[in-house]
Amino acid sequence: MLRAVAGLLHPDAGRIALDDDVWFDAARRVRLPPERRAVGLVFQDHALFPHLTVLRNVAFGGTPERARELLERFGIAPLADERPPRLSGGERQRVALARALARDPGVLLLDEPLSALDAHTRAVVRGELAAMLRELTIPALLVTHDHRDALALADRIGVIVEGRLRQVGTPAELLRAPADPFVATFTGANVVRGVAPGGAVLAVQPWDVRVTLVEPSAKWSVPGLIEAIEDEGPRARVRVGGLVAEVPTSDATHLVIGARAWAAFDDAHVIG
Amino acid sequence: MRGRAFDVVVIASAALALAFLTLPLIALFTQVPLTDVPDLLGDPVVTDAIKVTLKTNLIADALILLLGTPTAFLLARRRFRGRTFIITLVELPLVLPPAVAGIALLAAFGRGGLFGDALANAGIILPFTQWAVVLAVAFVAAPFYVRQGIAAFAAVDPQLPAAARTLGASPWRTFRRIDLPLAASGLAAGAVLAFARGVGEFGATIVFAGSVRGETQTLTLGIYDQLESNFDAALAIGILLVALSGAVLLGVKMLATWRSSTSTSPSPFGPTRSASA
Repeated sequence: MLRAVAGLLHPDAGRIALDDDVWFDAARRVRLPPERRAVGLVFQDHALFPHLTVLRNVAFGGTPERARELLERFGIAPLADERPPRLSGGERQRVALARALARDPGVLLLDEPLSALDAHTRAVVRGELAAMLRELTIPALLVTHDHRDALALADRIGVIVEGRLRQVGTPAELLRAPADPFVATFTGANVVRGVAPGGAVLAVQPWDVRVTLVEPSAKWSVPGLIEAIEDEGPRARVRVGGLVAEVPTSDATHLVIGARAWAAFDDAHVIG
Repeated sequence: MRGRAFDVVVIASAALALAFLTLPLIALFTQVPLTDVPDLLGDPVVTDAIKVTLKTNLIADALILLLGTPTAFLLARRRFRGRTFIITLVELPLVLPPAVAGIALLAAFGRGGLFGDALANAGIILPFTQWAVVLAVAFVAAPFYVRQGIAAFAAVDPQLPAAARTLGASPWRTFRRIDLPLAASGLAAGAVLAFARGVGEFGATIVFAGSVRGETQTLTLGIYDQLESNFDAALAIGILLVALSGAVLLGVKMLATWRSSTSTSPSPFGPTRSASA
């Protein structure tokens, strides 16, 4: 999809436009090539030019002055004369961002921007990216498979499954009111069937589920055996009865794997 | 066969093969006093041959680079119906016997040939002229360059020219600043091989261009011509060409190391800065 917006491939039908600039219109046979669209595309594996220095990479779509400005802004000015193969993953990502912005594009396109990074770098860069995106005055279109990235970075999220748009909303809306089971699991919610009357499917977030060893007096509850307990510092994730509950670690100390328990919750969203 | 006997047979066969391959080259250098070689190379027959060879090969190589580069680029990048067939066509001169190449050129450009009459009417006669040498050399050497060129362009990560386009570069600017520099070492290796093949061409040249001293007699044709009358001169030319071939081989090896240092993937062996977010 990002490649279509950038002009690297042309869809069969539809229309792509930024404000008044029509870049693609299947009906009217408008097909602008990438160099005539005001886009800045950050590739998943960065696609930095290995035979050019960092400065020349960033200046490729703009001027050297603008390039230096951006290198300063991203804190990578000392790397100006290095070549891409010698940079770390996080550094390469910053160069890729700077290069896309050097063109002063009308929209920034990011293709899985954090997937090429190792887990540790990822969390740090996610925070930096979130800050940078907030400062941007242009819209940014970001594609990712990781719901944490989406929830942390986006103002609005569109969930696409098998080519169809299932739901568009703010991160809060997606968490509280997922439109279908896929969106629910994408945001990390539990999808519970066979509990609500009439075959209704429920979506409930792990932190709204509590675990009890005696039959609870909650609106809904699911009995089962405790299948797993994962200690994650102040909170613990407990799998019971097919649901995942996130409870304060102090509440989980008395739980034992294999014991009979109930997953109980009051707040849930009804899907379909 | 017992282990020991097997080793002996293998080593003996290898020794025989190596001897067969190296002794003739050694003989080339021992049959004529090396101090005589410069004088022999100064013989007018030889200097004429050197001039013809240089002139025709340089022109042929220029043509090969000019037309072969876009050809290699197109075949490397675009997928179209018949692509494999066209690549096979381009590679055909590689396996074609040189004399057959010569006769094919005659059939195309000679009198009564496919284009021969049309050209003759325009006042252009090709066979047995220096341009015939150029064409013969280009015909046999071009596939070497184009094949290497295809590999070189195909080895460039297609994300890179795509990135250049999204940064505002036109297709020409993308080719000039991204594809060409990144494929350069592969293209250079191809050019060197094409040059070596062209200089060594014999069969197609003699059939299509003949062996006219000072006009179409290249160094290899010179060897053949001087066999009876001045064997030492023929040897001297041989030595010159062996030296040239050695230089070509060295050049290709050096280009191979240059190529690996500019590969587009992060080097698994090169130093990288420590991961610092």
